[in-house]
Amino acid sequence: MRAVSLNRGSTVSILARSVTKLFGETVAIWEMDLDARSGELISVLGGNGSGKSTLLKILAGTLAPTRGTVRTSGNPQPDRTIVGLVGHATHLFEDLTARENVELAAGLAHRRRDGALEQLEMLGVATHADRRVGDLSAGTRRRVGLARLLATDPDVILVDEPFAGLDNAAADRVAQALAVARDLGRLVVIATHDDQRSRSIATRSLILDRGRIHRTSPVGRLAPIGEGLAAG
Amino acid sequence: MSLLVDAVVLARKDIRVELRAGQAFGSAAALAGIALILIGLAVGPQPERLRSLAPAVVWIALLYAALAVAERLEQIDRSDEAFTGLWLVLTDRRSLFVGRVISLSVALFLLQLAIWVAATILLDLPVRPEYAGLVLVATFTSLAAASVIALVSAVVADADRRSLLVPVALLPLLVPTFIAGVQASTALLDGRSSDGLLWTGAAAVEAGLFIGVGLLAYESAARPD
Amino acid sequence: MPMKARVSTFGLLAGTALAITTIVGLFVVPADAAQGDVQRIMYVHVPSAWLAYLAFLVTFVSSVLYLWRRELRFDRLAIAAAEIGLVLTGITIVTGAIWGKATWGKWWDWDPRLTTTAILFVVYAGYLLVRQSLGDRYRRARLAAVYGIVAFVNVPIVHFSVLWWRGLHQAPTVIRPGDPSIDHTLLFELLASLLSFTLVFIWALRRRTALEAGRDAADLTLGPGT
Repeated sequence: MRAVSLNRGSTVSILARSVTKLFGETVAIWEMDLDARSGELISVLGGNGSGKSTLLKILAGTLAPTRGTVRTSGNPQPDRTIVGLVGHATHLFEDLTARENVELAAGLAHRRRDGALEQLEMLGVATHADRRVGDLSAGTRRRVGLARLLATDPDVILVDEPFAGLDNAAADRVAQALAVARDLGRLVVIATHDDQRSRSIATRSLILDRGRIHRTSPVGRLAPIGEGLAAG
Repeated sequence: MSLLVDAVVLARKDIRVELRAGQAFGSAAALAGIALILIGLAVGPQPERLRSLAPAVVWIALLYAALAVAERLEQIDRSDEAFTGLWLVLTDRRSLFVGRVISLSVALFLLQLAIWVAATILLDLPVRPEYAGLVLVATFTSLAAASVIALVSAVVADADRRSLLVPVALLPLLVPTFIAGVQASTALLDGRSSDGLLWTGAAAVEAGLFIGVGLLAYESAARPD
Repeated sequence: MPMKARVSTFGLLAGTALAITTIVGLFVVPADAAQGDVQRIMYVHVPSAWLAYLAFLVTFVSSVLYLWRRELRFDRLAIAAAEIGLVLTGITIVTGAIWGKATWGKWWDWDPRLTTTAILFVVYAGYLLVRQSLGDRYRRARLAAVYGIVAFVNVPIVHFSVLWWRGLHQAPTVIRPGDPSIDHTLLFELLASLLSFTLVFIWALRRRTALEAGRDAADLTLGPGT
């Protein structure tokens, strides 16, 4: 049994219109439009400084665009957590254990707190559940961060570099967890360098170049989870 | 209702981290202790003068200790952008304010009592029945100071040169609480309990006002974008 | 530009009014019977103090309006008023100290009004420092608005705390500027000087706001219609 509820049938969508973000005179994002909805897993590809992380923060609402609008709409119940983000940071308290971090977030999101261990297990980090997060390696810590995010069960899941610093087996587990969320009708957006692995789970990919969408490639028919993992 | 429930969860998180790492209270208490010793050294063995200075000494020591506690609690949240994670998860973000007010008040309350105990010994203060009133003074002044600190800390959370800015931004706004605290404890030490009660009431009014302002303005101050 | 011309006319008017009240205050109005010539400092001290409070009220109201409407023009008004208020507070403190030296024999007597003003000086100096250390334009406006609101909520609390704190000690018997027994010509000059100070205040507020608007217009990262 997983900590997330089953497909709620409710849909959520993100509509970004003419989003521009400038840092001083540097263009991070330029006039970007994006439509995305439940059940999609969008992989945002592009080199360093192409604007991937900035885009994710803007979609999360933790960074205000210089111009343009982002609307996250759907049919949210009053106590729903709409957007969850694992950015460059993992949003964890270093002096709490992995389990405590997941439980804290789940509790505040009014989700099951007792699913923490299962969530950590799914990402292959259950053995570290009772260790202080500050003592964990970067890769483990990122997976604990993702477990924390999934335990809050948001409608929109935004993850920056979900596969960075992970070995193949660990990256496969992360990909699988994201694919499960996609199939449960969540909207998942990831920013990654790992074209190969993201292709196996994405429904669509965007390639960013200097803050613009350079190319959009529909991945086509959705690969079943097992197939996608075999490809990875 | 979820506001209070979440706030208690958040305050417990602060307290749990503090009990584990123990940095905030320890460094704040050390700072307060140094302040007490320094004033003793400055004035020398003159019991009368030390006694008359006691409330001011305690409160100046407390203000500096409060800055240390505030800084540490803020650092818990800012490290690894843990605050952003909380912000996105919460339905009612004011619980972050209320939670911080609770944990800060607890810390300031305990600090204030600890400083009084130390001052009583070091400055040789007479112990009177009115002394019990100090608990009430500590309760309301801690609440008032905690709500100002929680709100202003959010305002200056990611400012440049924060370590310099925090005292400059905070101390002037803590002046009313300082006046009420010093006056209430002076009155109690002098055995004027009705005056002490009046000033404690003033601290309570301040606490109410600042909590109200905090509830209204906190989200604007703390939103990460 | 018609806007500029209007500002200049207004500035000229304000400057003339100030010059006239200065001359009248120094040379025409008789000296105070009890205090002598030093009492003339009141024509600077009292208007400065009143307008400082008005300035902080303007900062408070525009801060509330900014949080409500999220339009930068309210933030520009808030910063303009806070800066002018701080200068006026400084003038109030310095003139008050000089007056105090002449009448009480010491620069500082922990007079409730002067003490309150001194505390407000540090509070609003804090406001300006907080502003300076915040980078992004809109973030700065929003956070400064919160600080501007908390700062103003402090004004009455500080005022009454200090008053009460002083009251429980001894009450100093000094001649208060607000004393109703004040001579009629002196009162007239005080009101005239308040009027001319107010005109200069409005002029400065408009100039400072315009300066800030120019900065915002030159800032490419801000959207149109700010």
